[in-house]
Amino acid sequence: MGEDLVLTVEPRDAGIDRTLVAERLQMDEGERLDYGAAFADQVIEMSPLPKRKGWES
Amino acid sequence: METLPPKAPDLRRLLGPLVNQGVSFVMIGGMAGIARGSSYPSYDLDIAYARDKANVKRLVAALKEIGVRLRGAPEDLPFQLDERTIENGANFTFVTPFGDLDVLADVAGVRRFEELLAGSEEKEVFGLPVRVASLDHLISMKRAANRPKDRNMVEEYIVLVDEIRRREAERDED
Repeated sequence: MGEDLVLTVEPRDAGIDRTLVAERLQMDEGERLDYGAAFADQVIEMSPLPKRKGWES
Repeated sequence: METLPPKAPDLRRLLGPLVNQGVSFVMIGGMAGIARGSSYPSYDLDIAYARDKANVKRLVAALKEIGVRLRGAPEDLPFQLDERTIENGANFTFVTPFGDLDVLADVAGVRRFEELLAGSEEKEVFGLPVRVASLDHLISMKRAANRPKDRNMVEEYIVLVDEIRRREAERDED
């Protein structure tokens, strides 16, 4: 048919920001968890979902 | 309807009693993912624990020190926190003065606690020695849960594994 079937391997592209991943890997576990907590707090503050009033409620 | 906690958990206050009481546990879930480098937010601390009698006793002591209550349960529902209760149950979701805490014996995606423990690594987290589940086990658990957010997290964890292995290979070449 005058054509070759070519199989190639390419890096997986799942839309994950590898620079962000590299940045995280520079930190130690405690720093990552502190950063994650600050980020989670921001998400909670901005989310339209209802929030529980306190930990005990 | 889904609700959010008022803020992210205070891990120092949750992990401290578990470590100080000598509980055999492994950090799993989103927090373990964050400790491994994930950027997905997590709003609770999940741990898997060993089911032997001595460990259940230590776990109960730690949970009492933390001050846990059943999450989402009616105020008047009696809950006796003791070894028998933990032994008769397996997975518990708690609310505490320091954030939401899920304590699991059966973890979908992992056959046995010992397997999870063997794959985990001890990391220093806020000055505490804490065993954190491996990315491979976190991927298995997220695949088993298989909600849309879990599938997204699997993709990120795969990139993390890839990046860590690439860095290790580079180090080995030097």
